[in-house]
Amino acid sequence: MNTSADMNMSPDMQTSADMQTSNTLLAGTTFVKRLQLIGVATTAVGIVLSVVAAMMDMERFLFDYLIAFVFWGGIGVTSVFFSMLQFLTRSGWSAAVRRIPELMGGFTPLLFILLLPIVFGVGHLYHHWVHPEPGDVILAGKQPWLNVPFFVTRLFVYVGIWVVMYFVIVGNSFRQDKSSDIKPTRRNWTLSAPITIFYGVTITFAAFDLLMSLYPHWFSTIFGVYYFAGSLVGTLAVITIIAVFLRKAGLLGDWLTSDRMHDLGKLLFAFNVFWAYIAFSQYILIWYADLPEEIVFFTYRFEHGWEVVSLLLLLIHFIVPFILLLSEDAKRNLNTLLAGAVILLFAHLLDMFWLVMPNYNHDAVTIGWMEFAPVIALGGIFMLATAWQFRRHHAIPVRDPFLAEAR
Amino acid sequence: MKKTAGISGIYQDPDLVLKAAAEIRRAGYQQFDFHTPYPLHGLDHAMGIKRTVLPWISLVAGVVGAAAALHLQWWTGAVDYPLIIGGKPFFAFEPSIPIAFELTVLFSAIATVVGMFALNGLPKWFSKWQNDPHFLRTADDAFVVTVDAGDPLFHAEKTRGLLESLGAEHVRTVEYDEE
Repeated sequence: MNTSADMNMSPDMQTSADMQTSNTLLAGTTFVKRLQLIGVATTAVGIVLSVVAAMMDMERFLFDYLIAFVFWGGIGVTSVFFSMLQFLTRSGWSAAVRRIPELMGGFTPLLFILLLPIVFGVGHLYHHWVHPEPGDVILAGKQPWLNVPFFVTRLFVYVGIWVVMYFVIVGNSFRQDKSSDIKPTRRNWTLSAPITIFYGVTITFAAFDLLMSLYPHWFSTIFGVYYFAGSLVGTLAVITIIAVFLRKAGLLGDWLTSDRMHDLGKLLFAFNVFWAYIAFSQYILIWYADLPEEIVFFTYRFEHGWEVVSLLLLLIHFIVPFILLLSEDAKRNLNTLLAGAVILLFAHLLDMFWLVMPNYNHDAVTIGWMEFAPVIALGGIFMLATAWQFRRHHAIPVRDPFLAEAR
Repeated sequence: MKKTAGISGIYQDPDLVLKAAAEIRRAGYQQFDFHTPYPLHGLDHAMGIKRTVLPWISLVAGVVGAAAALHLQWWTGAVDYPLIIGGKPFFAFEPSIPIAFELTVLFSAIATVVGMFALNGLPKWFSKWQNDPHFLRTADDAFVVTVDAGDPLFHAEKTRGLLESLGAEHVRTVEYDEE
C-alpha cells in the first residue's frame, strides 16, 4: 500500500496533492449549482403534480407514491450500504468514488417524513389485510404480524435503523476528513460488520411489509433479496450517472479515472446479472410448482396488457444492458456507460411499477402522468439533498487511509 | 555455441519502469519485455501492448455453450424421446435456462483458460533468458527489462545506452546456449 509518506517524498506529486485537496470542495461549481437548480425545479413541479393527482384520485396516487418511496428510499438507504460495504471489505479502489453514495445517503433521514403518506394511506394500500374479507382464515393467521399498529411501528423502526446507520457510517467517514489519525475509519471497520446484519434484515422485512403485503396471500421467501438486488442496481446506476457528469464537468479528474469508471461499470453490470439471477430464481420455482396461491403473482402480470410490461422489464432490466455493457470498451466509454446506467435506473423504476401497480388494477395497465408525479417529486428532493451534501462536504474522502491506493 | 539473447537490466522502482516502458516504445523498439514480481498497473498500456482477442474467444464459446444446451434439451425432450413429466411442456425456456446458464459458463471458462494458454504460448519449456541471473530476482524484488537481439533497432552499444539513460541498473548482454 502506498502511504502518504511516499507522496511527500516526491515534490511534483506533493503539489498535485495540494491541488486535489482544493478541488474536492465542489460548493461553488456549476455542477452543484445546476444540480440544486434542477432539484428545486423538479421538486416544485413534482409536488404540484402530486397534489393535483392526489385530489383527482387519492387511491391511485397512494400506489404511485409507494412506487416513488420504494424507488428513491431504496436507493438512498442502499447508497449508505454501499459505503458500509467498502469499510467491511477494506476496499482500496473505492476510496475515490465512495463519497458519492455517502452524499446521496443524506436523503435517508428525510424518509421519516416521506413515510407519512404511506402511514396515512395504509387502509387504501393494504386494504387486503387491513379490512380482510370475513372468514379469511389465512389472513386471520397472519394478523399477529399484519396489523396496523405493529406495521406502522415496524416501518418507523426500519427507517430509524437506516438513519442510525447513516449517521454512524457516513458520519465517521465525514469525521475522517477532519481527523489527523485514522480512528474514525477504524471505528467503521469494526462497526460495518454488525450494522450490515441490521441492514440485511431491515431491507428484507421492509420489502415484505411495503411490497409483498400489498397482496398478502402471496409470499416468496426470496422477495427481500429481489428488492435489495434491484435497489443496489438503482444505487449503482445513480452513482455512475453522478460520476459521469462529474467527469464530463472536468471535476475530480485525478480520482474519477478511466479505471474507476470501468470499476463502476463492472459493479453495475455484475449486480444487474445478480438481479436477473434472483428474479429468475423466484420465477422458475413458482412456474415449476404452479400452485394457485403462488402463481397468481405471475398470472396477474402475464395478462391484460401486463405481459407487455413484463417483457419490457426483461428487455431493459437484463437483455439490453447486458449486451450494452458486456465489453470493457463500453464500460470505459462515458457515453455508453451513461446510457447503460440511465436504462438501468429507468428499468429499476419499471420494476417497482411492475411490483406495485397490478395490486391497484390487474385488469389493465394503469399508466399516465399521475404515475410519474411522486417519482418526480421525490427525485427532486433526492437531488436537493445530494446537492446540499455536496455543498457541505468534500467530494472525496480526503484523509482516507486508502486514498493513495485508489488513484 | 553461444548466441546473444539480448540485453537485460534491473529496476527497483515501479514508477521508473512505467516511464522506461513508454520511452523504449517511443524509441521504436518492438521486441522488448518487462518481467515483474507482481502485476504492474498501467504497464501494458505504457508498453503499447495491443488488446487481447481473448474476450472474443470467451464470448463465442459462451454463445455456443448456450445454444448447445438449448438444442440438447429441445432435441432430447421434444424430438427424440418426448415424455410427459408433471404436465409440463416437452420443451420450454423456463426449465432450460439453468442448464443453458451452466453450459454458457462452462464453455466460456474452458475456452478462456485454454485460449489464454494458447495465446501466451504456454506451456513453454525454454526461454532464452532463463539463465540470466537477473531473472532470479523477478520472483523477489526486482523489475527486469529485456530487449531482444532480434529487434530491428537492436544495437549492443546504443540499446545498452538507452536502458542506462532510463535508469536501469546492472545492464548486461545475455547469452544462451544453442543446441
